[in-house]
Amino acid sequence: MSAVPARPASTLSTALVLGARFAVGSRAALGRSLLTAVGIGVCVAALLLAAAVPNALADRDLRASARSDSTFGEPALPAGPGTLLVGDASTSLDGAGVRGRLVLAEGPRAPVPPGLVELPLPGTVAVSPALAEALDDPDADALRARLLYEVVATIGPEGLLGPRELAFYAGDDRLQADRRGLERRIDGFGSAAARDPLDGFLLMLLVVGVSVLLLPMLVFVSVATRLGTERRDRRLAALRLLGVPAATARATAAVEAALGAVAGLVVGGLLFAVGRQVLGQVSVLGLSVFPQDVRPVPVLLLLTVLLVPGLAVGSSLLGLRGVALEPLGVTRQSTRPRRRLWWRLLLPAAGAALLAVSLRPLPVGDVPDTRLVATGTVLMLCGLIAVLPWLVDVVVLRLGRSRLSGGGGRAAVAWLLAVRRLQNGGSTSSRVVSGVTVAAAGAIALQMLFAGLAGSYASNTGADLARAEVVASTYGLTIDQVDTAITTVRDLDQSAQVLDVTATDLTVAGQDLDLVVGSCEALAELAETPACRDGELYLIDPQGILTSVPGAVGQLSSGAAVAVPASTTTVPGRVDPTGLLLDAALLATPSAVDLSTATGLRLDQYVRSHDGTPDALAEAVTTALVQVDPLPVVRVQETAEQSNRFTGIRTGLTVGGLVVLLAIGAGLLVSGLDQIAERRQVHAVLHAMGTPAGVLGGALVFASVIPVALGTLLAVVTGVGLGALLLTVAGTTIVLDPLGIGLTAATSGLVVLLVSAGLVPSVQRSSHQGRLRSE
Amino acid sequence: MSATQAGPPLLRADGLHKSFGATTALAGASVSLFEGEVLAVMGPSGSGKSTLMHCLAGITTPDAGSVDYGDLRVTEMSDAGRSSLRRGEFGFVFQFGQLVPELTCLENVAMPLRLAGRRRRHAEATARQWLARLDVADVATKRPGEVSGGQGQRVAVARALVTEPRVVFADEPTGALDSLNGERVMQLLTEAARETRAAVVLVTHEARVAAYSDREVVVRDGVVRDVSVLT
Repeated sequence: MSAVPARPASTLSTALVLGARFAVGSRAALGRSLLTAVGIGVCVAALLLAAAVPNALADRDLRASARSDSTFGEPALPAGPGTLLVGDASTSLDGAGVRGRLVLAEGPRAPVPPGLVELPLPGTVAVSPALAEALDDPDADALRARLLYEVVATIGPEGLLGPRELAFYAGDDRLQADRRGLERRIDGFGSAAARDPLDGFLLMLLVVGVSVLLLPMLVFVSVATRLGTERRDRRLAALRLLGVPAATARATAAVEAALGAVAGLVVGGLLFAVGRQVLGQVSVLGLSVFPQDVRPVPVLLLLTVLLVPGLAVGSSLLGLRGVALEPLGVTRQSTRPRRRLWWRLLLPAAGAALLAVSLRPLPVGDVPDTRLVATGTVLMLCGLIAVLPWLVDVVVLRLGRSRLSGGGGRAAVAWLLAVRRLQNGGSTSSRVVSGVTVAAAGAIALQMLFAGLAGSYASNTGADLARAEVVASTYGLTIDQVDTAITTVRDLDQSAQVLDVTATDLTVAGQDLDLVVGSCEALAELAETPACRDGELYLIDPQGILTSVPGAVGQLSSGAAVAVPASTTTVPGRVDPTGLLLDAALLATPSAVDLSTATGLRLDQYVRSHDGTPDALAEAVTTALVQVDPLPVVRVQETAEQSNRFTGIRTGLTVGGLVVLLAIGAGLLVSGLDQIAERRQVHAVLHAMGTPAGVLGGALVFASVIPVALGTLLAVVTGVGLGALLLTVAGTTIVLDPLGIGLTAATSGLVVLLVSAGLVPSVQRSSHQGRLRSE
Repeated sequence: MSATQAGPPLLRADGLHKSFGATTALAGASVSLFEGEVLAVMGPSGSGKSTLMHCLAGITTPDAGSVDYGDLRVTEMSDAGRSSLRRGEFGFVFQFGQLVPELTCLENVAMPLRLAGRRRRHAEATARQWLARLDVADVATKRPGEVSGGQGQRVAVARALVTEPRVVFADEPTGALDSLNGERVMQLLTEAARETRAAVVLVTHEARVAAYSDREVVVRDGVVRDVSVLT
C-alpha cells in the first residue's frame, strides 16, 4: 500500500483553529485572554464614549432649544389666553447652578414647558429629580427657605439637559409683566434659531483636545495586545517543533491577537453600556447626561470596530519582528538592532511642518485650516510615541554604565534589575509609558492653548472684588420692603460689610435721571462726595445736561415730589463696585428725600464677606431676599466673564482628561499584572535566594520611574513646543504656565507611581506563589 | 554513621506536615543534615522531596513540625528573618538554573554578594573567580539565554556558592542536562562544596546523581526513610 501524503491544511484554517485554542484552550490562556480583553475593553469603552460625544452634544442642544423661553430679538407680545409670564429665578446650591423659572399663566392656553404635563399653579413647584433629592436632604433648610412653594410635580427628562440637572418651575402670582424687564411674556417654549456653529478657534481647541484624549487609548490597545507575548512565543516555538510553518505560526499569533481584540470589543461594549447608565447617575463638574443621549455616531462606531482589531493584529505582528520562532525554541536577536532616530523624528517634523503651513498669513477674520492643525498635532504626538523608546534605550544604556550601578545593597540590586530589565525589554515599558506621555504632552499643549485663548473668550467686567463680592438687586419695592430687605441681609452675617442704595426714576426740569438714596458711605461708592453729611444731595452730570435741575422740584414715577435745593453741588462720578459709572443722577442721603410713598423702588446691595466664601454668601442673600421679592438678582462678582462655549469645551475636555487618566491607570495596572505573571518564576527563585521583597518591588518601581521621568521630560518639551506652535497658529501671544505644566507632569507621573506602588503586593505574592518545582 | 555526622546536626527537621489543599505532601517527615555532608533526598515524582527541601530552606512554612538551623528555630522565624537566613547561610541550585534572564552571567553570580552589601567591583571580582572555578569564565558577559544548559547550570552553581554558604540546596540540578554535562556539574558542585565545607541537600530521583552524596534518604508518602550510609 502506497503512502498517501496528507493534504496540508490551509494556513488560515490552521491558524484559526490554533489561535482559538491558544486564546481559550486552558485556564491560563483564558486568564490571559481575559486580561487582554479587559485592557482593550477599557480603551474601546473610552473610544465609544468619545464617538458618542457629538450625539450627546446635539441632543443636549435640542433639549436646550426645546425649553428655551428667550424672547431676545422678538417683538413684545400682548397678554392673551395663550401667553405665559416667565421670570428667571436661577440660583445656586452649594456652588452648583440651579435653573429656576417662575411662571404665571395669563390665559387657559398658556404654553407648558417640556417635561411638564401642566403648569404649576401659584404657590406650587415642579422640580427635577435631582432637586427633589436635594430638597429631601435634612440639611437643605436654606434651599427649602428659598423655594417657598409646595412640590407637586417632577420635571420629566424632556425638560432637562441631564438627569442630574437641578431645575424647577414654580407658579408665582407676584409676576408682573413689564414691571422691570425681568419677566418675559411668551406664547410657546422652544427656539427655532439654529445654534451658531463653533468658531474656528473653538473648533481647533475641540479637535486638538479630542486628538489628545484618543491617542493614548490607541497606544493602550497596542499594549494590551502584547500581553503575555513571552509565553505566546514559546507556544509558537512548540508549534514549529510539530512542523507548523513559520508563516502559519505568525498567522496564529495574528488570529490570537484578533480574537483578543474582538473579546475586547465585546468587553468594551459592555463597559460602555454599563458606563452610560452610570453616567445617568452622576454629575461631573456640573455635567450630567441622559444615557439615551450617549449613542456613538455610526461612522465612528464602525471605525472603532475596524480600527481596534486592525491595530491589535498589526501590533502583534510587529512585535514578532525581532523574534525567530524556531522548532527548538524562541530566539530573540541577541544584539538588538540599534534604534534609529532619524525616522522617529520624521513624524514630529512632519507635524511641525503642517502646523507651520497653517502659520501662513490669513485674511483678517479667517481661521486656520482645522484639518491641517489636527493632523499636525496628531503627528507631533505620534512622534513622541516613536521617540520615547529610542530615548529610553539611550539613557538606560548610560545608566547601566553609570556609577549609580556600582554600589552594593538592596537599592543597588533593585536599580540593577530595573535597568537591565529596561535594557532587555525597554520597548514594552516605553510603550506603556508613552500613553501617559502623549496624554501629558497633549494636556500641556492644551493648557497653553486655553491659557492663550482665554483672553479672547473673556471680557473684563470691571468689577472690584475688594469693594463687593456679592451684589444683590431687588426690584419693584415699597420703602417698607426696602427696609425689610436691608434688615434681613444685614442680619445674615454680622461680620459682612453691607452697603445699600435705593434707586428710582426721577424727572426734574424735563430731564430723566436716577435718584439714588443711601448713606454717605454707600454714596461714596458711586461718586466723590467729600464732607458728606446726612441731609446732603449731589448731582452727577458728566454730560452737563442737568444745569437746570438745582432749585427745581422733580417728580417720582409714583407722583411724589422731590425738591432739589439750589445749593446742590455737582460731583464727579466714581466707578461703582460692579464696574459701572452712573450717568445723570441725583444722589441723596436718607433725610434729604422722602421715599415713604414711593413705589417701584430698586434696592442695590453691595456685600463683602470676611470669611471668603462668596458663593455661600450669595446663596444666603438670595434666601433672605426671596422673602421680599420672588426674583432677586444676586451675583457673585467676577473680574472676567468667560464665553459659555469656551468654558463648556474646557469642562468637557477636563472630564475627558479624567476618563483618559482612569483608563491609562487601568491599562497600566493590567500591563503591570501581566509582566508580573510573566516573571513569576524568576521572582520565586529570587525569593528563594533570600532576596527581600522590597528589592523586587523597588525594581518594579525603578523600572517605571526611569521611563516615566524621561517620558515626562519629553512630554514637557513636546507639549510646550506644540502649545507654542498652536498659539502661533491661533495668532495669540505665547503664554507659559509653569504651575499648570508642573501639575500636569506631576499628575501623570503620580498615576504611574501609584499604579507601580499598587503592584508591589502582587510582586510579593508572585514571589511566594511562583513555581520552584521543575519535575 | 558517616564521619561528617560527628557532632550535632546543622539542620534538623522534625515531624514536618504539609498539605496543599487535599494533597498531602509531607506527613511527619524528619531528617537531619550534618556539617559538610552531602545528603541525597530521593523519591518518585510527587513524593514530597521538593516540599521537604523548601521547608528545610525556610522557603515554605510547614503546617506542623519544626525545622532548626543550629540554635535557630526556622519555623518560628518571620518571613524577613527566613529571607535573611537564606541570603546569608544558604545557596540554591534549581533544575533549569533559573538565572535572572536580563542580567549577564557575571551579574547573576555577583548578585547574592551585592544583596549582602558588597560593591559591584568587589562582588564581580569574586564572581569572576567562581566562574573560572566552574569553567565558565568565558560566558561572564553573556546573558543566560545565550549560553548552553550545562554552562547555565554551572553559572547557577557558582551563584549558589559565591557567598560560601553553609548549606547548598540543589533541586534536580542535572535534570535538564545530558549525562556528560550532568556528571560535570555534580562533580564541580560537590568538589566546591567540600572545599568550602558546605553541606548539600541534593534532591534527585536519579541514582547516578545520588551517588555523589554521603548519605541517601528516600521520601515516600510524605515520610523520610534513611536508606543508606555511603561513606
